Amino acid sequence: MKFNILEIIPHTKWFWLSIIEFGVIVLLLNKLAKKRRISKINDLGFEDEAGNSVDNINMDSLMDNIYKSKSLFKELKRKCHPDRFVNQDCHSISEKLFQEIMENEKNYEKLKNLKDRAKSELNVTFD
Amino acid sequence: MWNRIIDIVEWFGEINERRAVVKDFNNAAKKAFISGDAPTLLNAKTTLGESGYHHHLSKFLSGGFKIKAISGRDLSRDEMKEIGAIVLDNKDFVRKLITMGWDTLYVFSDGGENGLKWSLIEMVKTVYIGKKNEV
Repeated sequence: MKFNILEIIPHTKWFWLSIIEFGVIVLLLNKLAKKRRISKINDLGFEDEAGNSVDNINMDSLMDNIYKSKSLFKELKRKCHPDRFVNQDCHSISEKLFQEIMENEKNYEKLKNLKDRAKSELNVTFD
Repeated sequence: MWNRIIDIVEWFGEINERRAVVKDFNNAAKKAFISGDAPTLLNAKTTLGESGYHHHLSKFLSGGFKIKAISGRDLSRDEMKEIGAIVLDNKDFVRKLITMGWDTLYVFSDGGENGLKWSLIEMVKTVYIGKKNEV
């Protein structure tokens, strides 16, 4: 018994039109995917000075900067002022630390690190 | 024709990205308020930008990033100034805002009558790059 595929496929023009439409859709989707691949390659991404990705800005740290940085800055400024370490070995360290504190007035994360440094390098105690 | 379709798809993608930034800000503000770190609940939303602050990437009718105190203690002028200064001090965030079509940063108190505004592009030019305005 001979098997003829043309006998199975309907001979209506709608069938062939739908096949062509399907082909066009596949072609366009392929083109879109290709375009996305190219844009991914071209996307250099955002990186901060340390090389960390900043595509997603850390909003929690932004809130910390808004609400917590001011009080910590005031405390650090008071306790690490170089005038408190005059005629001491750590005077130069306190000057550097104070300079960094002043530069990072609104950066809570950095101020926290500076607080740890002040504890270890200047033996300052905090509440 | 096909390029136009791709443009529309990208346009919707940008809208989602802008929404995500506002949503992230609001979630972080809620978290800070609930934990007790923040005396005031801040809420961000997109509004009209200041016409004088437009730049090449500004979105039509939605160039303003408005931060408003909506609950808790009301904000004084100094506090509004400080919030604005801290937001503008975050260079990555400001650059992201500019590239996503925002041109104006507003900080408003609870009543919505008193507020401050900053031009984001001017901030980048004068503070980050150090370039003075040239006529």
